[in-house]
Amino acid sequence: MSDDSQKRTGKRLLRTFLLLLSSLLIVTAAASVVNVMYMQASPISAEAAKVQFVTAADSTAAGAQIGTNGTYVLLNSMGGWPNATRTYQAAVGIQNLDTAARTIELKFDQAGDWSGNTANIDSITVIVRDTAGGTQQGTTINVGTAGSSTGAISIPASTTWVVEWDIKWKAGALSTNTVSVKLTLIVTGE
Amino acid sequence: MRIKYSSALSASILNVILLFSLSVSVYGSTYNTYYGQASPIRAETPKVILQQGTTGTSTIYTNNTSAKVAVNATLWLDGWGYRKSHVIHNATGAGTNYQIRVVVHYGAGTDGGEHVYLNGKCRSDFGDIRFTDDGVTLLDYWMEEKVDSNYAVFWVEVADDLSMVNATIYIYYGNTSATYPYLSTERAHGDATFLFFDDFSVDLSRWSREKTSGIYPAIETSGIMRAGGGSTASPYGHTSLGSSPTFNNFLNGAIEFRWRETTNALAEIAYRGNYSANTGYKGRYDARTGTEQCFMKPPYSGWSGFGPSVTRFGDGTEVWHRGTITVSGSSMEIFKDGVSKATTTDTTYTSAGEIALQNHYGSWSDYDWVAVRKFVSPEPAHGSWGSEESGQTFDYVLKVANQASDNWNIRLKAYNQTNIGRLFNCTIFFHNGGGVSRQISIYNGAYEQQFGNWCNLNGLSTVYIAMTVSATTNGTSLVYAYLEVHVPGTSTYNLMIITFEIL
Repeated sequence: MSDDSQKRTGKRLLRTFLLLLSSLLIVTAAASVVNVMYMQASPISAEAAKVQFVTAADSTAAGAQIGTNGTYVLLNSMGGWPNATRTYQAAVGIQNLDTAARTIELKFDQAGDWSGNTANIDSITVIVRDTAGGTQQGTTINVGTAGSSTGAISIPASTTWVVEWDIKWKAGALSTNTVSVKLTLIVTGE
Repeated sequence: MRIKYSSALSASILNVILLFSLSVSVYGSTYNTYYGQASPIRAETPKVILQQGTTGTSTIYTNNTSAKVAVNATLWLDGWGYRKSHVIHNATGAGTNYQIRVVVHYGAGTDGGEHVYLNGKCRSDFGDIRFTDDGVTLLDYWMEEKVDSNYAVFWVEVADDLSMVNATIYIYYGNTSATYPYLSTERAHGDATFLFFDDFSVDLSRWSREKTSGIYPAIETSGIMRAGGGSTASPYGHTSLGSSPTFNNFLNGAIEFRWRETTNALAEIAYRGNYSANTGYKGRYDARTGTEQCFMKPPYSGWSGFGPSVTRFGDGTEVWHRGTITVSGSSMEIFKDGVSKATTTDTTYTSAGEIALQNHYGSWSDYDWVAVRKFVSPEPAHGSWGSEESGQTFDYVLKVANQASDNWNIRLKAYNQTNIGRLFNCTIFFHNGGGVSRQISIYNGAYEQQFGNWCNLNGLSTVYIAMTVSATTNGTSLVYAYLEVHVPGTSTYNLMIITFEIL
């Protein structure tokens, strides 16, 4: 290699280095330029629920405890005799307090939403009706089947529907057997 | 490589779009989520249980909350409300298809012998009377006479062999829409019931006019055959109407008939007759006064009397009477209105032959009808009558026992069934000693009532489930029902499955 060749190579390296350095400076300068915008949610109010759980004809028998504001219900006294079907035609009500219809959906969401001696359950079904023993709204919920739901159903304004529970233990169920079930009520809209 | 790269890229892009879309659909709307929790849901010890009954075959399943009951249905004549059983005692040589007489009374009375009383539950014209052997198979019968709302006389052909064992038949009644005759004509009933029959409602085609006098023998008016042309002067106008064209095998049996005769008439019934050979016998109902031997042979010409000499028992007043002549081997007996007038024996003519209806001397003898039936001596005797039935009632097939102090309301509700079309009457009811509540009712193959009224099942009490079942055919029927155990004052209840099997 001649001296000229060595000089050209050195220049190229230098130019390349300078180019890289310039790029780094540009990138660094661009990242540090920011615009700040603000989103403000205020006030976020605690509203009265437009759709609420309410007691119904069989709430006492079912041991219904309605949570504050009607957005939660615990049914702690339901049961059934083995190989017989226990029906609570109106274990709890769902009331639309709004002046407009509301779309609701009651569902057994996922497998983990029930527990206990589920192997001794023959069937638990939940049905929403307009009145106790009345017209069914939506489809039947099969407890234990993930995603089983009423589907989206529109509850008219100022209307109360009832939730029917049908519980059948298998013939071999023991009197010590229990299960727990969680259902989700989705109310669309504010 | 380029193609694969492009596909992977496209798939990734699609996935991103899909995820974005789902995110929008799920999270793009405003919604609120509440929770309802049922905890614990308990398997409780049953407070109301099912227990075995006293009849039928019941299977109680685990925990006594469901059961199956099997009962045998009574075979029942479709459409009829009531029946009574009747035993006919066997008699040597009676065989099958023996005709017996039954007198049915419209009103109340004590059943016995050939008499049965239907307590006003049959039609006043007796049109709904039917006879069966196994409960549903109709027996042939013919109504001899009736007085509406009073009584009717029937001849019933018992199909069973009475030679060795007794037979049980049933008389059915209580069907307002049933009529008699249910065959084409009353004559058809007579034809079906007897060995030979004619009520002279059509013509004389079943007969041969063997000896005539003028136009006689002839059908005088519809339903009456007149053996006329008689004269008290020689040659006396003897006529003979023989059955040989259609019935020529009378050897042993009974000839039943209804006749009337005018002054000095000689109504005569020939049997084992052979006109051309001038053989056989006859019995005479002589309207004249005095005594005579009322059995004669041969019947067509040149006869002479035999047997005991008795007071003549004909009646020249033209009043209808019932006559019967029985023949068994060499023994013969003659009756007027059910009263024996003479008996005798003879062995001259032992071959089968015709019967013939005759008259001479007096102007005429009329015959309303004539029937030939089986006869053995002694005849099959009437036995006991059963009490009135409206289906088979079981004491109870299941018990519903309340094991707790809680009060319940209970009822039965049919929710499914198979082959109930054969059920004439299936009634399932509660009783508790203090009352009866019909819960499920099937009548003439269809539900009359699928669920009953609520009944109290008080604390620690028991209610009994009973059944009345009858069927028109053999088979198996199933009725699936819920026993609904309801918590009073709520809409909470328990459903216990009971299957009723009717065989």
